[in-house]
Amino acid sequence: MKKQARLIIYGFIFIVVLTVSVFSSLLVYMNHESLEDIRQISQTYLDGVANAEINNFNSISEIRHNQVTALRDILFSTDDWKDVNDSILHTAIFHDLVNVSLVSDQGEYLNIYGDPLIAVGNPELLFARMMEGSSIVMTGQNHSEQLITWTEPLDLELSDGTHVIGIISCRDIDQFIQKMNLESKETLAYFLLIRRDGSYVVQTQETECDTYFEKLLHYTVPIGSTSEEQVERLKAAIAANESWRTDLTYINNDRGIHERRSVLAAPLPSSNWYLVSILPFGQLDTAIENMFAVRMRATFTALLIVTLGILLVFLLYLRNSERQRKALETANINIAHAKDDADTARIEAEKARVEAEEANKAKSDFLSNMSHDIRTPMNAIVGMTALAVEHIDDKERVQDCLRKITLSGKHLLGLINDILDMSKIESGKMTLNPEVISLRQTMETMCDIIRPQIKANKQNFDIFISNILSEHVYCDSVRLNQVLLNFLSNALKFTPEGGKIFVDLRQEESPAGEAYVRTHLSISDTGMGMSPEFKEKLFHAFEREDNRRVHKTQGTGLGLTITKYIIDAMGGTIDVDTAPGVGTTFHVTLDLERVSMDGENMQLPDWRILIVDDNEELCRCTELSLTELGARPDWTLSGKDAVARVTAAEEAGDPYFIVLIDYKLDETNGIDTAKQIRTAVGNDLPIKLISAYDWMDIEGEAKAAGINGFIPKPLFKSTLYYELRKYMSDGSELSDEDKGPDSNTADISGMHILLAEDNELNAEIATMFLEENGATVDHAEDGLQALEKFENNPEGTYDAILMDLRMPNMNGLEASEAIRSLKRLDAVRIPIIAMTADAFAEDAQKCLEAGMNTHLAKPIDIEQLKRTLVKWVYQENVGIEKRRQQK
Amino acid sequence: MTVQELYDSIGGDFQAAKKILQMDKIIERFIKKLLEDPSYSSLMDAWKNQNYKELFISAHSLKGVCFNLGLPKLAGEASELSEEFRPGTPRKLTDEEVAAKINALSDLYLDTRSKIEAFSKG
Repeated sequence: MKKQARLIIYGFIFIVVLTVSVFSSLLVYMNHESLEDIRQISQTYLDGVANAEINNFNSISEIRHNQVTALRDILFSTDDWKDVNDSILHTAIFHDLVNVSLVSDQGEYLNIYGDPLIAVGNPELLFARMMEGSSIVMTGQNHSEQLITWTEPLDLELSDGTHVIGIISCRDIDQFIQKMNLESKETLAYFLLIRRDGSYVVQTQETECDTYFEKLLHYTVPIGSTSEEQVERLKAAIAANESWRTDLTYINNDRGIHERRSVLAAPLPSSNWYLVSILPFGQLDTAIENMFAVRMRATFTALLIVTLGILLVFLLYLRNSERQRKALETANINIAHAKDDADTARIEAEKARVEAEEANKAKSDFLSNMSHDIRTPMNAIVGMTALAVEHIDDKERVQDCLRKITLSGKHLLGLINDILDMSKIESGKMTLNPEVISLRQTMETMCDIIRPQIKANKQNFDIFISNILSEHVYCDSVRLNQVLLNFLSNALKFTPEGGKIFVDLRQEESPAGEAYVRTHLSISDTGMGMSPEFKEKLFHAFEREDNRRVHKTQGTGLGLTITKYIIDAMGGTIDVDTAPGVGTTFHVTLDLERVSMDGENMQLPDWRILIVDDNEELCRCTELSLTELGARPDWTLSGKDAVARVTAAEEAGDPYFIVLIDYKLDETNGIDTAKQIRTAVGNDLPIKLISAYDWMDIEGEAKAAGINGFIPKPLFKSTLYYELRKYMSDGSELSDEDKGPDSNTADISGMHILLAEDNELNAEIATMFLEENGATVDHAEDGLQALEKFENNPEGTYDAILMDLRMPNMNGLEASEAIRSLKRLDAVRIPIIAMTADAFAEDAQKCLEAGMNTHLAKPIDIEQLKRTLVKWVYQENVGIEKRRQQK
Repeated sequence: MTVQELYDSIGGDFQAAKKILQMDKIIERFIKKLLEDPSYSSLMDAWKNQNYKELFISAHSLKGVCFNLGLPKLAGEASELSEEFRPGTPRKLTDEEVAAKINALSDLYLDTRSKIEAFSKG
């Protein structure tokens, strides 16, 4: 690049130098030509001027010649000397002559008229000319002045015998000078008259030296030669009687003159003289210089423009080439990038190939594992079935077989559900259906579900709720339950007997904004834990920890992958803290959208409440919740202290209104403490047990110990409120039945259900199930009939609607929309549960959009149907207890 | 002949039926009701009349019934037909192929039906 730039700069300099040279040469040449032209012009002019002067001289000479001839003629006109004398006198005066003389052959001057002539300029030449018979002009001298003489030859014998050979007429030279313009300042050129020896004929201002030769030597510098050479040349020209011309520079510092001159010396006829015509360049020079200057300026301006033009072209070229260079560089870089990209892509592709192979292998492994996993319960089912058939009459044996078949079937169903979920995830078909959920209900449902297993596994379980900012949030409840249950079922599976399982739920302000609440959910266990290597692969599909252990515990290995996917879809994160043999904690962080419920204002009277729990955090959380509800809570960690406090309060006259005791305390259990409290203060004080365990298991023991009731964990603020408000009206607790059925037992008895199902057979099956479980059913044969039945019956007639989707006349979606848009109170509140054979998430979404609460897949699973009914009927319809009582 | 044996003979899934209907007696009661179910005849009518909307509803209905009764093969045939005529989705099969499917379903249904009839008679 630098080389190229240098090349361009050198090229530029070269072209500029070339241009300058060409222009300068041109200028010099033009100037030279101009000078030459001027020289020629001046020479021509000079020739013209010189010729005019010579003609002038000739005409003067002609006149004088005629005058002298006239005088001569007088001499020959008469022999009478007196007459001659008179005529000459008369003519001389007439012609203003100074003197008229005759020249004898002896060289004497015979005066005829005027002051006598003393000398002539060149007597020898005069004599010679007279002798040869030709006239001549030359200077002369009398006593007083210089004269100019005109001499004509003549041949006359005077009376005294003198032989006259010429007649001279003399005139005042000034007149000649004037006529020849020798001293004129008005003409451009001026003239000198010199003799052949260089001496001046007439001395004027210009005749500075004695001879013209001397002047040439002293005051002039010829162009192209020396002064000496010039003088020689002039002399040679004079000798040859030729014209001579030169250009020279006249320098006279005394007179302050320094100018070029053109000079022409030409012989004057009828004389021995040379006329030197001089043309000073003077003004011409100035004009030429001006012209040169103008031309120079023009030339240099042109030069400058051309140079600038070239410079511009070069700059443009440079810029262009720089651009091209940059474009080239960019292109090169792009090519390099493209190459890099291609490399990256190749590497990525290679990586993807390897990953695909790995995934493929994992899937193959998974398939073989799954085949095994599916075969195991299938074998059990087939085997047990065969066994049952064999012992068909042995009722107990058959029952046992059926129980085992049921278990295996359930396990198989779980496996298949996981695989379906996974295939949904893999095909991107899993969608979230966010709805308003209550975290309290979610946690309660979850506790209900796992409680029996906790009991069966003899594990310790507790649940902590703290700092709940928004109990109601938007979330896909089905998927959230799936996540929770997945973690919990892992904890259940991998925690040994006597191990601990804890659930912790807390909230804080979300960085996502005020509309959100950050919800932390931790599930900890003291189970077998995981190796760091496995932890890395934890959420990969189709992976399971250590096959040996898996023999004991069964599963697809997809649970955590599905869980991870769901949490990702919800925009949450999962952290895992685990160590082999120590346990595992899964920590889920979700930013959930808050739902503000315009529910009733939860407020309790300022009851004094004692909380007894060995977990200080739980105490503090419960204290905070109760304080917010308006009560005055105290807490203590020990049973003994609790008894002391209750006694002291009683004595101080500010007794506790109610005591809440945890079932499990450190040194003693809650039931013993309750007994002691009863012993100390009697039976009036309500004592409630708090527990994450199943009330059914301890109910007998608890009631015997004088415990009035049970508050199930988790202890949300709303849980406490709903449990304690029962004492608000008259201070006595309502019957236990008022709580509503435990969803685990899923009691649907007493419900009145509208069943919309067009197919008689299906309707009959469903009706049979529902009626067998204590519900009453009203059957509608299509959507339109369902709408009419709902509309024509008074509010609250039905507890729920089971709606088939595909029906003639009006389909389930249309019927649901129509029911929801009815102007009556239960139109918006009644749970509508879809039943469909199209078990896709999109259908579920459509159901929700049509205003339905949830959907169930066909064929109907009666247990699931019951659970769903209980969930929605009791969630939606708080008034059901009263109606059930009425019924 | 037990109802399970009936199921074996008609290629039904007795376990599935049991899961749903839970008791043999109930299964027996309901499998006989299949004879009264109008889905099949309305399906055939719809096919004859080229009423595809009705065809879809009948097939869908038959599919539901058969699932509930633990007759997966018949349910599968019905399901394929219902998918073919699901409103809002383009047809995938030619009429000839559909006719073949209808015939297959018809053969299976009539076979099943005759066996159930025999079973219900004695």
